[in-house]
Amino acid sequence: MRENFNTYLPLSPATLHILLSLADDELHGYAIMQEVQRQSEGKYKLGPGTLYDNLQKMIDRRLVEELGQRPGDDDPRRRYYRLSSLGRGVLAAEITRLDGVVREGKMRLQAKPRRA
Amino acid sequence: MLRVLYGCVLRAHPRYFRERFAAEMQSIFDHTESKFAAAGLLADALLSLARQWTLRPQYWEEPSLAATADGAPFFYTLGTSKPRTAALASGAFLSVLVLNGVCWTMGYAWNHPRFMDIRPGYGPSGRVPESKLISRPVHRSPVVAEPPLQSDQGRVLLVFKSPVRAATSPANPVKSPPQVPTASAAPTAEAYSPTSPAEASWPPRAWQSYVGRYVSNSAGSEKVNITIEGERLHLEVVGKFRSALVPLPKPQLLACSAGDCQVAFSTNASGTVDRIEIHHGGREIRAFRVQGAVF
Repeated sequence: MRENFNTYLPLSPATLHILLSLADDELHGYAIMQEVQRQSEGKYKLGPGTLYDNLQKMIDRRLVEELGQRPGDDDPRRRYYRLSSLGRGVLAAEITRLDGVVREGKMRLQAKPRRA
Repeated sequence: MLRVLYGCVLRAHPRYFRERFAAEMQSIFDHTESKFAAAGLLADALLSLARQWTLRPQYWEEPSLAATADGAPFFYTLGTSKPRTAALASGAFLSVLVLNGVCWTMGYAWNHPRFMDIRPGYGPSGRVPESKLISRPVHRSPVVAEPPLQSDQGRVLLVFKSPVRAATSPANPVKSPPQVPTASAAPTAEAYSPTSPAEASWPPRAWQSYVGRYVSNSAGSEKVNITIEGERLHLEVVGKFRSALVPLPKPQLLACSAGDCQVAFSTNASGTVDRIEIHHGGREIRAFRVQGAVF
């Protein structure tokens, strides 16, 4: 049965950025914070409290999977996370929605020129 | 100092959140390079503390089932190692039931013993066919089976062959053996060929030696007459009962033709029949022969 991704939409900015950062690779919490800062060009910063609060909800909703520790890591307290298939689908649905929002916005803005 | 404060704030978080993420948050704090960033993390931790205790009550305790990365659920032991009261009660009831069953079985076996025939060639169900016997049967010379003794109300009379007449009889009539006469005075078992275990045919001349009257020396002083009528001996206990006598394969042993009665004659040293023992109705009458006609 196909999952209805629309029930998870719209995503909060923190959830969206976390899912985006995990789209390419499995990352630990500190790396997620750094990736989010990089993606937003420093405009959006996640604190550990906000990060793990959102990770807790996403793990509970099965959007993110917790992998645990990796052997050989320089900090054994680090735990890695990855995007689940459901999370990937929800992210894609959110990107599609946002893409529609951007297209609609551009169309409306071009149609109505600025008044002097 | 900031690190200690940060650790205290993390410890104040709900237990489930603290167990899962406190170590990682502490790790992130340890990687900060400036105090300004550390102060920012402390403020973020305080905000997280307020958020967890006010907006996330569903995460105060760990959920009933958690999943690993591949979807396999975690299992937690929610109960204690102490057995449930219902389980203890059921086990106690079952134990009492089993114990009562065992005791009843033992009692039944004690009250209903089964005796086994341990004779060679015999099993629990009786004679075992020779084809099923493990060991070969021992072939012995055939032994002539003695004719069965007649019993007086189920009691068995033991016959002891002795040339000497017994002086007195024991108190128990069951164990008192009737005396066997000498070969010259009375007929012996070898002189006759009994036609059946219950009755033997004696020559009429042998009966004559028993005819006479007998008197008991007990308190009742019974008088006994032994006569010949027709071709049979007859017994009469005066005033009590009268019956024909049927000779038995054993010498000097006769049974009444009617009723439960058995008569045994005894001889003296000269071979003359001088005593009679009558077992009738659970009573025993011992009488000595007297001279003269019948009573």
